[in-house]
Amino acid sequence: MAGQGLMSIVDEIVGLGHLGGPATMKMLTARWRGATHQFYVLAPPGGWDEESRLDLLHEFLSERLDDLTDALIAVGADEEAVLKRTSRIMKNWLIDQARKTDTGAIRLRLEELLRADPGFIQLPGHSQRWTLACVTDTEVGRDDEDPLLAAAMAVSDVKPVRWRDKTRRAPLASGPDLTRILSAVLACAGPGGLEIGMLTRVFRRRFGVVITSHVPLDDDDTLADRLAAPPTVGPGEEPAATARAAEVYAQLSDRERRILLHLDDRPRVERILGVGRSVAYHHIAQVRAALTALAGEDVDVEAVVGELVRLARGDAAPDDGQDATLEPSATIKEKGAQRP
Amino acid sequence: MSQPDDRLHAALTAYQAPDPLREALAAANHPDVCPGQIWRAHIPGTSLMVLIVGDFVSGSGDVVVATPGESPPADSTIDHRPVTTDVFRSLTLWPTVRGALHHRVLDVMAEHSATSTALADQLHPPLRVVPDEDALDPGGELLAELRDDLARLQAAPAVPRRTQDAEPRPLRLPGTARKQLELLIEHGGVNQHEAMELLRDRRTLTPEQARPLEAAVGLEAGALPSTAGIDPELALEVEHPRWRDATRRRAAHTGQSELAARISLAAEAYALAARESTAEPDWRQRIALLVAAEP
Repeated sequence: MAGQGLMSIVDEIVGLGHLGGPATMKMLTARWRGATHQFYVLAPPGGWDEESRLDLLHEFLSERLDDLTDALIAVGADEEAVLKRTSRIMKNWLIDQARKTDTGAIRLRLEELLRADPGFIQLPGHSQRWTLACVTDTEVGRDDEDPLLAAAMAVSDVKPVRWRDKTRRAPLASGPDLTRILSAVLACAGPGGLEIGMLTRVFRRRFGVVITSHVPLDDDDTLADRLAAPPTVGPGEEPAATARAAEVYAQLSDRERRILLHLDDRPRVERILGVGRSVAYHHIAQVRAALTALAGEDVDVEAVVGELVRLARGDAAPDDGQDATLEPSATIKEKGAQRP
Repeated sequence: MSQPDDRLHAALTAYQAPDPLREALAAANHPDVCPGQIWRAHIPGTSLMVLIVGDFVSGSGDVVVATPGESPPADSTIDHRPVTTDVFRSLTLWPTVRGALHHRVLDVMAEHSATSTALADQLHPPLRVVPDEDALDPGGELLAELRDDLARLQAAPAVPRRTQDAEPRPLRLPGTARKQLELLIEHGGVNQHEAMELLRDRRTLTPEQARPLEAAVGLEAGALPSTAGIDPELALEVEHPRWRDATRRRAAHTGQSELAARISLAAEAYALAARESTAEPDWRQRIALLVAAEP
C-alpha cells in the first residue's frame, strides 16, 4: 500500500473516531483477505470467495468492532503499527474460531500429548515434524495416509470417553489411548516422522469426527445413496447401532448437535447458532461429514442415524424450534422414514 | 459505493471510539513520568500502552503492558486483568509482561487518574513468583508478541552518553598558540581556563565543542579528537517525552532519524549554554529556546 494511502488511514481513524473511512475500509478488507487465506479450516464449501470472506468479516466485526476501533485509535499516527495491530487482532480472532473446529482442536490436543511425552521428539530443524524417540531404523517410513490410518485403526481397546459437559468439546479418547495411537502411527511412519498436519488428518479419519469441510450441500450423493440403500439389519445389530450413535453424538459439539435436525436448512442453522452463512455452511458440512464417515463402518447406518435423530430431538433447545416444529430436515427425515 | 461496501461502511461506523479516549490522546500530555500514569510507548513500527508501576529514576522505571481492546481467549490461563478506567472502556493488564522502560520511548500520557493509580499500586511491587506459562495456552501467541514489542521498546537506541575518558586525547589545531586559544574560545564555546586545559592535553573536546571548531578551521566533521557522547543530564532532558514532537518535526524536516535529531538538538543546546557562564545550565530552558525558534 502506498505511503499516501497509509497516511490517510491514520488521519481517518483519528479524525473520524470510527473505522468507516474509505482508506480504512480498503485496508481492513485487504488485511482480512490476507488473514483468512491461511485458515482453510474455516473456508466454506468450495473455498473462499469475496462473499464468504465478507460474511465472516461481518461476524468478526459484530464481535470485535468496538475493541478493534479502540485498539487502532490507541496506536497513534504510525501506519505500520496500525497495520500490524489490525492483522494481529484479526488473526487471533480467526485462531479462536479455528480452535472451535474439530481440526483445530485435534491438532492442539495432539501437540499437547506429543510435547508432554519424552517418547516423542521433534526432528531437528523441523518443528512441525514428529517421530518416536526410540526409532533407530534407517528405513524410510510411510507418509501416505491410508497405511497410517490402518496403523491407527489397528490399535485395539480404545474406549470412548463418557462426556456430559455440554459447554466443552468431547475428547476423542483418553490421553493414554491417544498416546498409544500416536506411537503406532509414528512407528508406521518410520524415522522420517510425520508433520503435525498429517497426524491430525489421520486422527480425524480414525475417529470419524470430520472428514472435510467441502461436502457439497446440494449434491450430497454419497449420503443420499447410502440412505436410499435397503437396510440390512442383522440380529444383534440394533444395540451396536445405538452404541455407535452414542459415540458419534458424544463427539459432536453442542452446536453441531443443535443443527443435526436441520442440515438442509442453512438459514435456520444461521438463526440457531447466531452465525453468518459461511460459518453455518461450515458446521453443516462438519455434521454431514461425520454422517458420511459412517458409510465406511460395519454398522447399520440407518439405525445409527435414527438413533442420532432421537438423541437430537431429546436435546433440542426450545428456541431451536420456535419457527418450526422439531421435524428433521429432508436428509435426516428421509433416513428416519426408511427405518424398518 | 457498491452494496457490499455500503453494508461494510454501515457496520464499521456503528461504533464510535469514546470521547475520553480520543480527547486524552489528542491532548498531547507530556508530564514528568510517575507511577499510576498510562502512557503510549512508541518507536517506528511498534506502539504499546504501558502502566507506570515504579518510580522513574534517571529516566527509567518499571512498567506493565496494557492492551486496549485485546485480551486472551476466555479459556486462557495466562495472568491478565481486564479493567475499565476513566479513559479506556476495555483495557487488559498483563502483569507478567513488565520490565524497565526509558522515557525516551514514551509518546503521550493517556491517563493519570485515581483508577489508574490504584491499578499501579496493585501491580507494585512485581510478583515474587512468576507462574509457569503453558506454551500451548491459547493466549500464548499474543503474550509472546507483547513481550517482543516490549523488548523492542526497551532496545530503542539512546542518545549516546558521555563517559570520562581514562586518558585525555591530544588536540592539534592550526596556527599559533594564541590563535588556537582564540579559536577555542570563539568557536569551541569554552572559557580561557578550559581552553588552556584543552591545549595542554589535560582534557578532551566534547563533540558539541568539536563540531563548530572543525567548521571554523575547515576540517571534516570528526577530524578533531573528541569524547564520545552527550552530557548525561542533557541527554536525559532531550529524551524527555515533552520534546518528542519537536524532535520528530526536526527529523522529518531534515530527513534524519529521530535519534539523530535528538543528538543534533542536544548539540545545539550545549553550544547555546556554553556561551553562558552558568555552572549548571537549565537544559530544559535551552532546548525550549531552540524549539521555539524552529519552523
